[in-house]
Amino acid sequence: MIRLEHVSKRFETGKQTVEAVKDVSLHIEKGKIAGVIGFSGAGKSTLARCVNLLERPTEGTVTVGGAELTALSEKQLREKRKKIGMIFQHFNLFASRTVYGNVAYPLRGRSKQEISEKVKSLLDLVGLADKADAYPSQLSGGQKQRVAIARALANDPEVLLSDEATSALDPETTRSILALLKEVNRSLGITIVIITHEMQVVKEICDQVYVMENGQVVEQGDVFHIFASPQKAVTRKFVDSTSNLSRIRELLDDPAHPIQLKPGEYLLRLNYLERSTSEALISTLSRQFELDINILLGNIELIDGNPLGGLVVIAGGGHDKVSAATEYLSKKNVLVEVIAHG
Amino acid sequence: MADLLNQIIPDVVARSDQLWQAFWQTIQMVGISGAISLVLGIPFGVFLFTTKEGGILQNRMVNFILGKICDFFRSIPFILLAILLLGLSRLIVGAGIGVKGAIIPLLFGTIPFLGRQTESALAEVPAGLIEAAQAMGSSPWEIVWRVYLKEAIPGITRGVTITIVSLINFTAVAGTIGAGGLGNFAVMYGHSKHLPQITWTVILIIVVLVSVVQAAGTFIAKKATH
Repeated sequence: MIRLEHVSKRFETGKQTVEAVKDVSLHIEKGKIAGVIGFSGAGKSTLARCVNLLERPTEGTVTVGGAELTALSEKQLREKRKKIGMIFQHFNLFASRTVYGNVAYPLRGRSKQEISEKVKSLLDLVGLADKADAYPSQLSGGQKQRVAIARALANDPEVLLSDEATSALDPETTRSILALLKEVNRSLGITIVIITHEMQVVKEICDQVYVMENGQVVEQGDVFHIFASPQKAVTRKFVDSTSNLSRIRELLDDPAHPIQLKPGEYLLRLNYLERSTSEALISTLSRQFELDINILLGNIELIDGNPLGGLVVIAGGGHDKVSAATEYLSKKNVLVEVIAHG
Repeated sequence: MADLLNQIIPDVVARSDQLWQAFWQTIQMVGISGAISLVLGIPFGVFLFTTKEGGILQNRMVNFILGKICDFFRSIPFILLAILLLGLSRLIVGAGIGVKGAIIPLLFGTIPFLGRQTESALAEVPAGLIEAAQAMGSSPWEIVWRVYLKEAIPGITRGVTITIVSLINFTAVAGTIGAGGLGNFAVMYGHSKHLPQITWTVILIIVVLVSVVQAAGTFIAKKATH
């Protein structure tokens, strides 16, 4: 559905040239939800704007739904853009128009009755049928984004671009907006591209993810594999940001020393890879390897239907027993990292 | 009432016919040049703004020329502009004095002014809205009509209000060099014949006129803000 080939975007500001996107190629299949994640300045928003040519790439081609956008005239491009919806971090609703007027904006040229029916069904879809006559200033952030989604869907697009659409919302509202996007994806079959700096967002609804750094896509894959075995440092940072396991470093550095290891005790981090958590591993360690196990932190979740995550534990029983247990765990697809020992 | 006025401002009452005539002339000057200024000044402002670097009708040459024209006329004090344009006025409307003769200088005074006011009103429309409209496939002209002008109604209304207020001022200045109206009346009687009652009455009328315009503008701007 969306294909970028060797896309680069350079901005010339006076004597300085900033290369916001460098040689990015990607392919997003129809009906998928793809995430593009990166820290601020990684180039992800520019990349999203290259998809509908709000930013014209300096090099490379952009193809959406079979049409090469980079080869179209301005007029043809405007027609094509009607089939690519976009939502934004700050909603970008027209303050002078009501909810109805905002959703009706892209429908100009159709009959009054047609517009009214379409707007009504869109407002039903996003759950704001009773707000048709309200102005944006009378709505909450979550409601504004729902109106923006309805407006973006007005021309029955094939693709929806979401540029940090949940970044200005609280976690609860974020979840409800993500649920709505997922519903839109499922019921209408729209391909969605989600630009975000929150790994939580990717985890919740994306099928595949592209990690960006310095204008390049440094890692890509399906969400489960990115979470299970992140390769690049930046990806690991994002994956860690969704779990509390990284807090162990803070606890170790805490001057109050909340963690005291006795001789023979090991502080271990167990990373569950692939499909391994269905077994009673901790009980096995305790019984078979005679270890005393104290769980400090735990974070195991279902991603894409598969359990994934890890534990931080203190294992007591001495070097030999711990290394035997480590060997056993690695056979069970659990990666063991020794953080410290007493 | 008539007796009372006759007691307080006998000089004015004695010339009430001329006062009414002057008042009516002022209203005519403000009305005609105000209406033409709206029709020409707002589009002028739209071009000033949209042809800028990064604007939706970006055109460096047009923007440069419009900007220079605007600054040229705005930097000339109105009294000099009025004198300067007498010849042009004779050429176009066939009169260098009177209400008719005042229209051309007034337009040159107010159109660039309203242009800049409109420009700054449009600048307040968040860039994100323009981006959203572009993403929805709107053409540049559609964006001018359906986004810029619609979203900027409160700002443009404020700009128009300020313009009309300064237009009322300009008509008084034009009056002093022969355009008629309240300014002319005040100079002819209040100043030249040393009748301070006339001067004060004219000032009071202009203050009331300006207050009404300002109140109406504020009301409309408020109504249009959601």
